[in-house]
Amino acid sequence: MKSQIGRSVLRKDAPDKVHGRVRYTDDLRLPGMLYAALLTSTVAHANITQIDIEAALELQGVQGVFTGKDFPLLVGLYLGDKPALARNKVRYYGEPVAAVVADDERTALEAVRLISVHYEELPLIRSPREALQQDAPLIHPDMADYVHIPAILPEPGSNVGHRTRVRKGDAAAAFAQADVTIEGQYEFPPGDHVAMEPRVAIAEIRSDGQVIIRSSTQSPYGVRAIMSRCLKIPTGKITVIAGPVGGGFGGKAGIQLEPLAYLLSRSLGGQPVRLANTREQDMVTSPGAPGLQSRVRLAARSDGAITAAEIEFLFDSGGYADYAVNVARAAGYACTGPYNIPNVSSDSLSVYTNHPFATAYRGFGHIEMSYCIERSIDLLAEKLQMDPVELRARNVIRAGHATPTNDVLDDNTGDLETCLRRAAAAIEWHKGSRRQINEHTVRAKGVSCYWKAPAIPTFTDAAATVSFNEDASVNVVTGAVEIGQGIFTGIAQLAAERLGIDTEQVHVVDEVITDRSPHDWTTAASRTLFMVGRAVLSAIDDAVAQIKRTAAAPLRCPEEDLEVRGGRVYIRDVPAHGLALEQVVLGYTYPNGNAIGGPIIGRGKYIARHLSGIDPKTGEGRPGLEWTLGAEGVEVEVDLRDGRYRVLRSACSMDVGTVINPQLARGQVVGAMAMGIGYTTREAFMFDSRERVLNQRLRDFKILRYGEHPEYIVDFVETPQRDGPYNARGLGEQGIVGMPGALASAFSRAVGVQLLRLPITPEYLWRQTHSAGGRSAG
Amino acid sequence: MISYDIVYLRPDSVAEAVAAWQQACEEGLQPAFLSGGSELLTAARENRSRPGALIDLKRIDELGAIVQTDEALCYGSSVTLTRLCQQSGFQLLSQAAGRVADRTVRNSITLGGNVCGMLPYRETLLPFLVADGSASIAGPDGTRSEPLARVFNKRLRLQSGELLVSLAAPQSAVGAASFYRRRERDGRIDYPLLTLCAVAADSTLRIAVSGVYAYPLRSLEAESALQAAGGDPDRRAAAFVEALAEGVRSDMRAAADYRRELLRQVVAEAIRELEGSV
Repeated sequence: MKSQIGRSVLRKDAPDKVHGRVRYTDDLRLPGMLYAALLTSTVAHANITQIDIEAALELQGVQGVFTGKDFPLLVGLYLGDKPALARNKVRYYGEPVAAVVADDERTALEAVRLISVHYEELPLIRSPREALQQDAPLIHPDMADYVHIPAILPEPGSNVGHRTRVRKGDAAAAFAQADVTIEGQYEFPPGDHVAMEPRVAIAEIRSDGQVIIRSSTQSPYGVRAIMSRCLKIPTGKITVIAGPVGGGFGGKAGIQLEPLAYLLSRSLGGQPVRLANTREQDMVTSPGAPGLQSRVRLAARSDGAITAAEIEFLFDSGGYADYAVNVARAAGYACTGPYNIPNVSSDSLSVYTNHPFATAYRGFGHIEMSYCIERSIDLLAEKLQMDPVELRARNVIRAGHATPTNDVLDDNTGDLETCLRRAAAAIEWHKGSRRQINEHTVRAKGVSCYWKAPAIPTFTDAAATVSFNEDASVNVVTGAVEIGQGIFTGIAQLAAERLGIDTEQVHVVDEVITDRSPHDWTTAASRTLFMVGRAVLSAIDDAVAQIKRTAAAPLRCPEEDLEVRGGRVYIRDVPAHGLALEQVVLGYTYPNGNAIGGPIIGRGKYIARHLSGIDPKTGEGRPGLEWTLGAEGVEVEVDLRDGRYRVLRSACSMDVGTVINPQLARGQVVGAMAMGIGYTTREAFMFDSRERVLNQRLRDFKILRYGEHPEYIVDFVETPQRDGPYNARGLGEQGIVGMPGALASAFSRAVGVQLLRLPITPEYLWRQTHSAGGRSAG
Repeated sequence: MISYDIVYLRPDSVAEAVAAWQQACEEGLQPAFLSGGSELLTAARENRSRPGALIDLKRIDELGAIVQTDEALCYGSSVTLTRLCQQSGFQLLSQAAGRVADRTVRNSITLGGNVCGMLPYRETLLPFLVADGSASIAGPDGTRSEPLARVFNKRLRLQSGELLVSLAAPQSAVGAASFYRRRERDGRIDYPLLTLCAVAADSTLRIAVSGVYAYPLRSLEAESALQAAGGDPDRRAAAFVEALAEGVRSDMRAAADYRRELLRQVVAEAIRELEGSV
């Protein structure tokens, strides 16, 4: 049997996905199901003075109309700041104000039109910096009363939802002694994931009180735990069912539509209620990507060694905290990017504004952080007149170096310098980073380095069970959710490798039901292959031990002499002497009919190793399980007359430990780079003067299309992650992280001005080209 | 999903369509003519438009015809953009039609819908504007043909109950040297910041633009200014832009000064490309 590792096994769900046969939660219709529709806020910050629901209630087919006063409780992922429906006040454009439940979808929508709401508008907060001003209005005046987890540190009396402080070494002293210093200020607006499937939740309550939630979620166990905590339902009375998810990108982690769907069902005798976002609601009513304002100062010696960093990240969490508080925390503890900087002073804040609220977005704080750091390193390279690749190579983090939180990297650390050299080679950096094609067209290149570790609780877990069928094929049950990443194929390969069988012989159950699938933290943070993979291997080992126990008697040998591989259990030194697994996995039957053993069920588990909280004053601690390191390089072509551009090449070199499935791995990295191009060039909300989102429709909010993609070059370095499954580490998000930095570097080189904000549009490039210092003359 | 009931009517002739409109009005239904439906359906879904009756024009044979005579090429208003870009016989029209929306949507969008619909761009009208084309319009009093110069001012000036039967372009203009450019904010599948159609005819450059203002525009004053200005193409293009009225669009896609600059550059390109033909 040849190895299952490193093979591009066709993902099992591919044919159904390609043919449109997959049934997502959005496709489900249950008998007796009622349909909910939301009325959302037309203003960004206001007191609700009156809501008139009479006309809506009178419409034939309407079962109920609900407003904030019907549900006097707060729900929150880390910080309980959010009502299920706005109460007294709306904090962002698009916030749910009322919900209608009706016999069918059209009646619910029609009833929503009949509700009228009166608002008394309040002063607006348009950016994190505005929110931090002394006299800024408070978006959450009752913050002091909110319940929150210990790792989150809200600052009542301000608009700060959380602050992560990192103090390493003595940054002030290092700045005083520096040969050179630079400072950059950066900013970009919030945006959206634009997952294919809008969020949806169907809730029902059975007569015995069992709450059943079907949801398009990355986090079935998170939904169960948070609903239990915030809605006071015993955990065992909640069952969450998660089928295949039509794209998550972080936007379906945590808690989304489930509590409101439950409250609506509860108000109507437990009947199933379907609450589904329209595309427009999915973009602004449900949370998206955070915006940022930031300031970075770097100090360096004249030889290019970076000696200190002083960093301020102000994440725009919008009207509610959701994941943004933890995004700010992750950006805080990873604040320097993958560079060895001995002295660091950093404050990373999650700040309330009157924008749509923010949640996890692919990269989880690292994409934002990386943009600011990579831009700053380019500013430093310019000031030092050093090659940007060499400056990065001079400072890359390696085993033995300490992270900003003073966590010393061990020998499992990837080889970033090799990644950087290979990414630079892929775009032929050595042939020059800027080239004039004709009078008005230039081609320019940019590079970046990145890192990301899973941003997870210290006790993040995974578990798996394996059982066997009559043909000795294997069933694997985990708590992992398929969100487009192909995780079940990767898991099947790991299990097959351990048993020495073909991946076809492994069946991974593709639906998570929380009362029968084993507990799993969340399918997020690029940790699933690592952690669930570890649990699956441990479950296989457990099953193998049981197989040996059963087989030892009929084979008349000690268990430890047995080997299980290739569908057989046999004596290691006499391989011909053995049994087919079909004869063992459901119990062994002797020729006379006596039977022993019984069905084998392997169980396996994993829990993160050696993680700790971080010190609130210094950040000291170990928040990152395994850091995935990599580098990216891009080449763009810009027409300096009007700023039109094309991205020509995009290369990524990443140290992933071991490549389990090359095609799936490449797919993840290419997808991430494509998303990174969209993030950098267009995927941003635009607001009117009253902070209402202008582009909440897909005809106005553009994502990359076929025909706009560059040539993608994906390369893997394999420095073993020895505690990972077959030495593998996470790679799902990472390919996006370096893209804004690399692209902004290339565009800056093209136009001759350091670009400090996103999105980088043709108009922005044109303005910069024709500004003082721009290369309008070519 | 559209949340309310709509009366759907499918007339077999232009006369029936006009009559259906009148009857729907009498019944207080607030009718709308339905062609490709891409705009009506999305607007109704968001309650930005709530017609009580839809009068579907797609099955009327007369509206789906492309007719060629010695004098003119005439395009029925129900001809889809996909068909226009594949076999219009009018290069400028094929170019203009081929860059609206994407292929799947162009299979639905019709010439009439693109010209008479809710969006301000109306790009397929531009070739007819520079061709000095005409419109055939049906109403309660029968069908009439009018030069676009008379019935088009920012939009086609249709009376309530009138519908566009066809647009025609004279053969002389169809065969003239032409120029087409379109500029978008990011990718190609987007509304235009600028679409420009130009032909060289009667030793002048005729230029029509969309996306620059909140309506398609052909400015004879600006064409004259271009003609009168001396110097290189850049200078003449600047004269063209100078002569245009205020009110260039500033919106989420681009600011007015960027649009004006794009226009200046593209007009200069048009001059360079068509110079030999004028």
